[in-house]
Amino acid sequence: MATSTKTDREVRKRWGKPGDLRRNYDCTPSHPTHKDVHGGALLASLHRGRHANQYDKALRMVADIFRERSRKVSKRVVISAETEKLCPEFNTLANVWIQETRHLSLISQKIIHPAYFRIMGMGRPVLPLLLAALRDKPAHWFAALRAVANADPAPADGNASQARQAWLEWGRSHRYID
Amino acid sequence: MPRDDVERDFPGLVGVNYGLSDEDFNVNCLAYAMGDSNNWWEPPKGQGQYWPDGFDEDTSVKTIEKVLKFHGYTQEIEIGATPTEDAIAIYGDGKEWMHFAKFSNGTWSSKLGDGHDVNGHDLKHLVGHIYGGVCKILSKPPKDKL
Repeated sequence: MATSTKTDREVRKRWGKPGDLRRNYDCTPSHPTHKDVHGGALLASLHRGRHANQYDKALRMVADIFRERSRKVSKRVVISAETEKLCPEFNTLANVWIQETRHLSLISQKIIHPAYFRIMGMGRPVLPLLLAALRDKPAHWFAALRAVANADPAPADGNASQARQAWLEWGRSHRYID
Repeated sequence: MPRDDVERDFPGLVGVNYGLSDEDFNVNCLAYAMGDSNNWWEPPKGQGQYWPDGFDEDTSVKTIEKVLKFHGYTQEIEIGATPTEDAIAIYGDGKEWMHFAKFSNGTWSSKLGDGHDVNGHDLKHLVGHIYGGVCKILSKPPKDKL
């Protein structure tokens, strides 16, 4: 029958019983599991609890995996809580604006509608919503985008389709939209 | 429904046998009337808007008359008369333009904002709070009549 060494006991006191390392992390698919660490071989060796420095080595590897995963995750679109909160009001205002200005012949008249002003007043958090609206249905959101983003990626003498394309590329490169 | 949306804003079209095209946000009524299917005609030039060089950058009826005359729409005809040649009707409040309709092949048609083209309407069908009234009609005499 195997007996625990002093090192074993110290390690278990510090890190818990074998397997606890995994339970200390959220093991949803976006996080590494013990299988990520050389198929679990290293963690399995930790079960033997022979050397404390193996725990440190394992933790470094796990940290590396987390770092790599978070780097990949950060490339995805991140919608802030503030943006999510604005979503229902934005949708209502956007629908009102489209309904009430779609037949106007002048953009200069379209963009002075009160709903448009309120959308611009939402500030930077509304940017992902504006870009998603532009992506889903072409409309003259460009003045609002210029105001909120303080940028204008559209070609100076391009038409609305070219401006839309340029804004969608800008939005994707800044991770505001898919 | 596109027809419901159109008729809500232009109740004069209810019961009229008109045609609707797909929506296109690249062009407005002035571009449509001028035969440009790529640009939104509105001053000032730039930021997705086109305006011909050499004309004042305003939306006055006076300026647009100059633009239309430059493009051959030189002959003013009486409001209510049916043109015998291609023509453009200017809608507005008398001072500023708000809309244009084009007469070609014997029928009027126009583009409603960034929405649909409406084909086969009468000028009076679009009169209302959005476009005002018809304030001028200019026709384009064939070159051999000039």
